Amino acid sequence: MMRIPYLPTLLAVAAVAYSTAGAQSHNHTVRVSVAVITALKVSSGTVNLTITGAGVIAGQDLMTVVDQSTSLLWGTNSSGKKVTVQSNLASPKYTLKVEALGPTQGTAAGQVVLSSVARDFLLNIGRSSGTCSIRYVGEALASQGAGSDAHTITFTIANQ
Amino acid sequence: MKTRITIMPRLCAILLWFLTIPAVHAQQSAIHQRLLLHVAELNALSVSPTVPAVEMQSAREAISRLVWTSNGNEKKITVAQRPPHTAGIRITLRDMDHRIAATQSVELTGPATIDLLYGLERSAGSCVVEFTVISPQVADSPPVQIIYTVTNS
Repeated sequence: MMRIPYLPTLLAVAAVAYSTAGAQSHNHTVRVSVAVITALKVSSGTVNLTITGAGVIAGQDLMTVVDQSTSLLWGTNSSGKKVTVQSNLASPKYTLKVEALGPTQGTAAGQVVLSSVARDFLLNIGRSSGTCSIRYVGEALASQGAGSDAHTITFTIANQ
Repeated sequence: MKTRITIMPRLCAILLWFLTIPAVHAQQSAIHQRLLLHVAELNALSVSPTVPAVEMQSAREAISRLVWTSNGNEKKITVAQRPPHTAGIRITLRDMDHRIAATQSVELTGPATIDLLYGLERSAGSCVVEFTVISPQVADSPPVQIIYTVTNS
């Protein structure tokens, strides 16, 4: 039978080293930084409104169409925020109004006429995620004739 | 030193929401939506009451109110009777609330379609329509349908 010299001694040293290592501790610092985050999404990127015969009443100059098929979703971890809305058309042929309906957070700013100037759409949405329906109302006068307006609507989270 | 990370449940929910929506990975603070508002050529007509009673025997007058809206160019309103009544009907317009050229009085004596209002262009308006039986007929005559049409001038 082969004998390993100093085996008991080696085992003893290893045991001491293991017990010493178990008693050690190491520290490090972990910093979690959360930047200001804002996110917006619309349920559909395209909306088509067409004024048809259903939106015309004989004797009235005003013709209307309403669309409430899309919704806006948002999230922000910063307080004091609002959502604004604007169009890329400075002088559209027809009147286009927009309104937030049933916001799960914040307050709807009410119906506004869209133009190239940003208007309030939702107020006090800070530190929340939420959703609301987008209600568009298109209006045309008989005197304005037939035609179309192609808008690019921009919703923006902005400081309140 | 022990590290302690505390994230509020609400913040967790927001962060989770961000991660679960692919479209918002870029953390956009603005979003665009394309909207097309289209207005077709539209014409509308209405008559009230729809069935004025004209006494054939005495040739008494009856009146209706004709209202219209059109966003088309160079439109007119024509009138016809179906089926053509042998007695004939005179239609007179009054109380026009719109500056359009109007034929003040037309007589429907056959199947022909006659111009009633023209110069109807991108407007809404109304007028009173008076009906008169030109020559009295016997009783039990079938009802006459007056057809108004918006058409191109």
